[in-house]
Amino acid sequence: MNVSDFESALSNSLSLGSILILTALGLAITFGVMRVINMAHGEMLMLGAYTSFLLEDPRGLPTLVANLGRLFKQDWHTEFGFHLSLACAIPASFLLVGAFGYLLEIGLIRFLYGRPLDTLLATWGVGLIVQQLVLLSFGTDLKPMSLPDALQGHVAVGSVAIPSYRIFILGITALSLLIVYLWFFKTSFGLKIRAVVQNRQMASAMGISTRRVDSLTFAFATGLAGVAGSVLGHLYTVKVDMGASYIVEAFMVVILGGMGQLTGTVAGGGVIGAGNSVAEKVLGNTQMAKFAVLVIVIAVIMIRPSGIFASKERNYE
Amino acid sequence: MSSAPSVSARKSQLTDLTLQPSPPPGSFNLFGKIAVLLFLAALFLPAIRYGSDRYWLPLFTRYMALAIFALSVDLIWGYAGLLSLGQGLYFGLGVYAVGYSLKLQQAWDVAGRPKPYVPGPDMPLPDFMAYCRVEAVPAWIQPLIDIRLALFLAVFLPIVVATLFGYFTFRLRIKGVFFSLVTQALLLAVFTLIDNNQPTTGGRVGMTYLNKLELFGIRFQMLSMYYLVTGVLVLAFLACALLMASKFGRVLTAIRDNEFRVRALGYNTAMYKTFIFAISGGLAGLAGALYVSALGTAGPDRLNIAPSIEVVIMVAVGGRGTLVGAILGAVLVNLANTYINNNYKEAWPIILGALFILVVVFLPEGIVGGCQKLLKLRWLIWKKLGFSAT
Repeated sequence: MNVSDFESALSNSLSLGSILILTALGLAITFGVMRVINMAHGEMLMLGAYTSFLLEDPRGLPTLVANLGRLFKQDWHTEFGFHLSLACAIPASFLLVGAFGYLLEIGLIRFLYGRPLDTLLATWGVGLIVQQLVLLSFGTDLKPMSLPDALQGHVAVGSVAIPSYRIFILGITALSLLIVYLWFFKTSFGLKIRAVVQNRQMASAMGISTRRVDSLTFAFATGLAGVAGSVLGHLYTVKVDMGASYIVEAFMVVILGGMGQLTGTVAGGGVIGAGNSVAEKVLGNTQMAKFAVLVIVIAVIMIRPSGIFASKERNYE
Repeated sequence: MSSAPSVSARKSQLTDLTLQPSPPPGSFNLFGKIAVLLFLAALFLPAIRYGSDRYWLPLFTRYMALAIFALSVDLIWGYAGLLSLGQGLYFGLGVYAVGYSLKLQQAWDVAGRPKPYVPGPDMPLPDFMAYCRVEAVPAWIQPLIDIRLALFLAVFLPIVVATLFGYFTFRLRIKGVFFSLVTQALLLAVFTLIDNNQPTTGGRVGMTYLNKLELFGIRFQMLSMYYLVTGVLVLAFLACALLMASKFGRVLTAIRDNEFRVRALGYNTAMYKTFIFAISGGLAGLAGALYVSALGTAGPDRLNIAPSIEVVIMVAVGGRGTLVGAILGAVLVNLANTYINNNYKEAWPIILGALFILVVVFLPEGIVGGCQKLLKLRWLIWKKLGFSAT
C-alpha cells in the first residue's frame, strides 16, 4: 500500500466512520443509555431527510400537496415551494423529528418499559407505518437533492481530493458529539439523566420527574437522528427505505463500542468505518466489504459481548 | 420481558392458582386435546374447499409452509424466550438447497437429457448462470441435483449453523435484545452475500422456473403438494408438542421465566438453549424447502430483514408459547395479507404496522392466549355462581 492509497483509505475511513457515528449517536442514547430499543430509528433518519427535502427543495411542497390531494381524491396543487438553506433545514429536522420522538415516547414506548423485546416489535410496526405514510405523501420516485454551492467542491489534502461535503459531515458529527457531551455532563438536565439511568427509584425519590426525563431524552436522541438524516439525504438519494440500510449497522456500532459509552460509540463507528474502507480496498466491492465487516463484527461481539469499551457495571448474572 | 412479571401479574397468577389449580403436568386434558385434534383436521379443509382452485390452493400451500416457519420461531421465542430476528437465514438455507436442486433438474430436462439426473462437470447450465457467463456448474452445487441430498441438507445445514452460532452466543450468555440484534446482523450479512453473487445465486431475482418436486416417484403439485406440506406441518406440530410436554420442554420454559434460578439448580442452560435453537433452525430449513417447492421460484426476498420480523408477528398474533397459536397466526396474517393486498394495496404496510403495535400493547398473549384467559374467566364465574366446574 503506497502513500496515496493510505491517504485515500484514511480519508474514506474518516468519512464512513463519521457517517456511522452520526447515525448511531441517537441510538447510543436511546439504546445505549436508556435501554429502549427503537427499531424505527432508521425511519427517524428518513423523516429528517424528507424534512430537509421539503424545506430546501422547491419541488418538495408541490409534490407533497399533489400526493395528499391524490390520497383524498382532490385536485390540489401549488406552485410554491420552500427554498431554505441547509443551515435552516438541519435545526428544523432536529425539532420536527424530535417532536415526533417525543410523541412516540409518551404515546407508545412509555407503556413498554421493561419489555425490550415487545418494544422492538412495536417500534418496528411504527417504522412500517411511518414508511408507508411518507411513501403515500411523497411518492415513490427518488429525490436527489442539490448541495449548497459552498459545499460542492473538493479540498485537496496531501494527494487526495476530499469532497468538502464529507468534511462538512465530519464537522457536524464532531459538533453533535460535543453537544451531547456538554448536555450529558455539563447541564443539570444531563445530571438528571445520569441519575435516572443509575438508579431510577432513588432519582424519583429525589424529586426528579423520571417520566419527563425519559421523554425529553428520547426526543433529543430522535432529533439527532433527524439531523443525521438531513445530512445524509444530501449524500445519497432521499428515499423511503433509506433508514433500513443504516439501522443494523448503527446497532452494531453501539453494541461493538459498549453500551452507555459515548467514547465507545465513537470507537465503534470508527472501527467499523475503517474496517469497511479497508475491506473495500482489499475486496474491491462495497457490498462484499459490508458482508466481511458484519461477520467480523458479529465475531467480535461474540468474543466480547460487552463491547470494546465495556462499562464497569455489576449485574447479578 | 417475561423474566420479571409485574406485581399485579404475579398477584393475578396467585389468585388463579388458588381458585383454579392448573392440571399437573402430563394430566389428561380431554377438552384441550380434542380441540387441538379438530384444529389439525381443519388444516386440511382448504383442500376440500379449494381442491381444484389454481389461485387459492397454492396460496394455502404456501401459508402452511409459512406455518411450519412460524412453529420454528415459536419454539425459540414462545418457549425459550429468545427472539431470533434471523430465522430467515435457516429458512433461506432450505430455500437455496432445494432451489438449486429443482433448478438443476429443470436445466437437465430443458437440455433434453435422459433421466436419471447424474451430477458431473458437464451438467447443463441453469439459465441464470448462463446469463452471467459462468463456464460450468460449480462443483459444490453439482451434487445438489439429487433431491434427497438437497432435502437432507435443507434440514441438516441449518441445524449445523444454528448449533455453532447458538453454542457461542449462549455460552457467552448473550441474550435478550442483544441476541435479537446479532441474529439480525448475521441475516443481513448472508443476505448481502447472496445478493451480490449473482453468477452463483441468481442475485436479487434468484432462480425461476423450478421443476416440480419429485420424490418417491410422486410428482408433487397442487393437491398432492398441499397434502405433503400440511402433512409435514401436522407431524412437526405433534413432534413439537411431544417435545414441549416432556421434561426438556419444562426446563426450557423455566429458563424463559427465570434462567438464573434454573442455572442455580445445576442445569446447563446454554446447552438447552443451543439444542432448541438447532431444532428450530432445522424446522425453519424444512419450511424453506417446502416453501420453495410450492412456490416454484427461489429468491432472496424471504432472506431480507423484514420477513423474519413478520414471522415473529404471526406468532405474536396467534399466541406466543402455544403451538396452535403459531399456526393460526401464520394462516390468519397471511390471509389478511393476501386479501388486503388484493383490495387496498397501499394500506397493507399500515395495517401490518398497526398489528405489531396493537398485539404487543393490548394482546400480548395473542388470540389463543386471550381465548384461554376467557375460558379461565368463565370457569371462575361458574364457580362464583355456585356451579361446580369439575
